[in-house]
Amino acid sequence: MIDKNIFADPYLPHEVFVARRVQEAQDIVSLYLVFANPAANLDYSFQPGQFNMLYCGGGEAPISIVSGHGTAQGYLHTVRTVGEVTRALGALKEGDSLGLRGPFGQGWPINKIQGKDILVITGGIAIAPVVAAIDELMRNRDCYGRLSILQGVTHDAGHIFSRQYQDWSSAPNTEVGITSMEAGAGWRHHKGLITTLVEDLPIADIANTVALMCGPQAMMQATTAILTGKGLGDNSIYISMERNMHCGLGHCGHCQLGEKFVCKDGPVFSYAELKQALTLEAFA
Amino acid sequence: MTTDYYLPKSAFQDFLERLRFDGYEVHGPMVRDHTIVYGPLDSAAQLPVGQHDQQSPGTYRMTAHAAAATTYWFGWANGPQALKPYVFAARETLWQADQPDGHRLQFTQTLPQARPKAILGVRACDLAALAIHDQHFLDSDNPDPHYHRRRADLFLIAVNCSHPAATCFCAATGDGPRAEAFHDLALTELATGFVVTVGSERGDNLVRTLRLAAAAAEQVTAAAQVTEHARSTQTRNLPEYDLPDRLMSLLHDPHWQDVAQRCLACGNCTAVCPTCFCYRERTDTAVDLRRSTQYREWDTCFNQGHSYMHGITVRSETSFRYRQWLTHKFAIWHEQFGRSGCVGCGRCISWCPVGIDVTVELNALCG
Repeated sequence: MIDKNIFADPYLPHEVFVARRVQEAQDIVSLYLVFANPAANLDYSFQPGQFNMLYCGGGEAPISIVSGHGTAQGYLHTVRTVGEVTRALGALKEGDSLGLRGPFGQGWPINKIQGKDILVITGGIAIAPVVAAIDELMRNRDCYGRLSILQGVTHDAGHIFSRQYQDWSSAPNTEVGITSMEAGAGWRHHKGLITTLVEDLPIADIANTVALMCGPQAMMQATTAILTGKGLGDNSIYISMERNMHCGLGHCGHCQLGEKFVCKDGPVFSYAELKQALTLEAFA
Repeated sequence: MTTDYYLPKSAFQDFLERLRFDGYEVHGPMVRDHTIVYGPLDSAAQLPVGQHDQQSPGTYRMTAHAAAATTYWFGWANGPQALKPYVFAARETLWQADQPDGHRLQFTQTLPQARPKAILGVRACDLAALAIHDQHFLDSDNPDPHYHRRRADLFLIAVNCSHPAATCFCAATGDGPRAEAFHDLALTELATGFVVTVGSERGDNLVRTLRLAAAAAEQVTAAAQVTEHARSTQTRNLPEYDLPDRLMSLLHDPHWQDVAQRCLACGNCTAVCPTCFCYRERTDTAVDLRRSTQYREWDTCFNQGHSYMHGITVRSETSFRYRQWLTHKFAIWHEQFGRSGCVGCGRCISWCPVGIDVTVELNALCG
């Protein structure tokens, strides 16, 4: 065991540049990151739902990978600037240098859900870890059944990626539903909670349906209750979890949830895997 | 059956010199700050000869042995330290980021410059804990190069326990008092020398170099009696239930609140626990912003920040944190590591400032 050859240091970041920066909303920034080493930029690959640890000034933070294909365009990370590190990330300019290590974790079960009708249900910035999965479904649209993409935000100003939503809504056999709890006059979408949208969603073939979900834990639990009430099985609901993470490697212990290390065993789990832990007060 | 050897106490200094000659920095137990800790050992005279540790919930006191026929060198149970700081440093730098031109970032690995160390006086409980940490940090998809560097060159000389403390319960967890694995050599102390059991090829080579005589049959028997006696003097026990299932069925028991009223959430128990592995990463940035170092240091699930994420503290109260620690250690650990996370060293009992006794709390919960 201790003679294991250690090739790379999984703690050591790689240098990347901000190739492009987009202010998506007041507190949401998209960063397209390109590796300083061109070979690393080509070699790097990730599964939809995985995340990177991004380093910038004040420390590291786990950030989902939205998209990217080893081109000069870069790997997209969309960040809500809420903490010390994410605020520093949001303050980066094009051309600035930062650190990246990853990808980490287990992503969405893209292959396992072939042939299924798919519900994608997200809240706020939590659309970010699901975009790569939707892109993958779109690339092989014939391999999947009906696709329903539901997104809820707190305020209409927090609605991002509106062009992607428009593209997705015009794809075959695909519907998009967007709702905001608060919205101004120009808002063309639903008003209210995401759970209402889920309640009202007709599900044609529940036995052949799966849900991919990411958002605040309370939202995912409320949505799960609705879906299981409609007859969806615990094994057909996939949730992407968020936890305090320092290492991304399953070593530092912060992200433990029951016997799972969210960073390496997740962040995507079937609801069946987490049901017990999630239903205990202050346990999860 | 392999041969046991005999190392007379009169030849012990030669044994230490040989280890040094073979390139090891020798570390061993010594009295410091009224406790037994491991440190660089130049001479057998530094050992805690004739010293004894009295431990009970919330108490650790060094005392001299009452006048006895034998002056023991290792007649104590354990100190606060275990092997943990030697392989998983309490604080260490992971890497360094430089920005010499104020723009480009250069990341540099900072591995520890560890010299090969021989550690003398390792206890069976701490070897069992080391095996768990090996599993956690090395038997991983991403082995930890910092742990690996410190671990790879350790030569481990166990000394089987002859005088367990009142807080010890390694017999109940099955991890002691006799070292069975993970050591290079294991010593059992008799009046004038040590019966030496070989645990590895490196250990075998050393014993051959020293040209030790084979232990006599009565010495081997006497050594077995030492550890048997050590086993029989232990009084603390774990509940005889299937602990994992039982504990997980008691998550809403009012007893968690009872413990929380006494627990200070100080984290002493996790610092002295030889199997606790949580750490946090932090960044130190120089004032001119040109250099920052990423370091890790031991963390504890009793800290409020341990379960914190953007405004939410998952385990907001002490009762939830004590429950997390105890259920992780005695229940969930089985699913992660195939065994309990407790090796029965009793440190969390002695070093708890309010004397919370894990064996008492488990029996109160499950009884």
